[in-house]
Amino acid sequence: MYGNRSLITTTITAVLFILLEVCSALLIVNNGIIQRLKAVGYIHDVQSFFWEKEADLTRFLSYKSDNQALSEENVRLKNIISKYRYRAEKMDSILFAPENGGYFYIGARVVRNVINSQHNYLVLNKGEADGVQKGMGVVTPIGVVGIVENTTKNYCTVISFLNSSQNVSVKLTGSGMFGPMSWDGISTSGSILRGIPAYVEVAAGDSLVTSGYSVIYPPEIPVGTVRNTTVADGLVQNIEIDLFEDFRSLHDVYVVGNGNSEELNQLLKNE
Amino acid sequence: MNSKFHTVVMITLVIIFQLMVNNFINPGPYIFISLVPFAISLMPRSTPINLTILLCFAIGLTVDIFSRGVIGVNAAAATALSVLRAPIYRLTISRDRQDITPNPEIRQCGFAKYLAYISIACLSYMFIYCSLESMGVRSVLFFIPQFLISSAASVILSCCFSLTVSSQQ
Repeated sequence: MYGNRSLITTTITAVLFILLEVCSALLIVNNGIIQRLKAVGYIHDVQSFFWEKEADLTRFLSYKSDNQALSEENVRLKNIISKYRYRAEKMDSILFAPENGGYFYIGARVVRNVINSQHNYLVLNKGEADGVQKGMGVVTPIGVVGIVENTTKNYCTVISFLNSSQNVSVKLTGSGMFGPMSWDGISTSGSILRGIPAYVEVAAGDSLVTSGYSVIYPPEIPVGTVRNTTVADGLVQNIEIDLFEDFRSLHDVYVVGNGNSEELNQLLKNE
Repeated sequence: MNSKFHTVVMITLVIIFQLMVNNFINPGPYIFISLVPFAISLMPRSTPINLTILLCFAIGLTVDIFSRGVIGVNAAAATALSVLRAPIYRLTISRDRQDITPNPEIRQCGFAKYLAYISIACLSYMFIYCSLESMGVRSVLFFIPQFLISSAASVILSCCFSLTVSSQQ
């Protein structure tokens, strides 16, 4: 009982003390110009601190939607670039034979990614309703991912590059020599480029890009760097490659279509 | 009753003297003489803490209102000193003398103990006063001399007043 009374008295004293000190502070701020400016400065500092934290929090919470918006913007820009590149190539065709062109991109997210078997595959959240068709390529800015195998209205399955049956035409950026690159079947970041003549000088660290000699993948997509070379049969060398793309952390990809694919396929069939 | 009346009169006179010092004597920017710590020391120790806080605030505010400075500075320092008064008393004046002196006086406590008490009280008061008055606009090189010189001047004047009050009693 006595303890409670003491606590109440102490509380009243503390409240009274704080109240009177606050009154004094208010009087100082209201009557002293310099003190007022200083106090306002301190208050603004505190406000700024909290505003900054609030802005950080808001930014953090909006990362998902920002990411989505950026991804859509990326697709839009890629399509614009592709369109202009195609037009430029058409203009050049007055003098040179036309190359594959008219690529368009559809942004997609990986919803399933199997990487532990010899026949790996992916499922993407885009399907026929989004314009995805069987045979389209799937890429990222740092590598090729695979080829669309099957489509439903809203989803598609992709045969991953990490598949023994997959080949991608790539070229060495230095010499321009090209050949088929396939998965090494061992790791998620290793592949082999075969058929490069033995006389071609290849050094570790040389980079490789897609050749563009394909209806599926656009040219000049960086895919990896040379790790090691071995001469096979005395005539050609097999080049071990470190892929740029990390298939274990694949999230956002682009399904890439070729507006001229039907025409090209028809032509190739006739030959 | 007579004793309380005497205390009120003494505190009033000290405040009037403080106002005269503030308004008519200008010793320079480094010296601010304050008798508010001395006026607070005149209040009996038996005064309830809440009443002490209110009275100290009122003393400080009175000095603020009738002086030319920024209103609220003395009130803030005096309110803080009202809470520090008891700990400073316990720290400086020996326990056996606490029972015989209703409030610290130079003749009853002894010069050394009283000097210690009033010095800590004046330093505490002046620290708050000078901090609030300069509040970031003056450098440390100004603040420290002002704080030390003002505290010393206040301590000397408080001792003189305490001797006078004691001799009258």
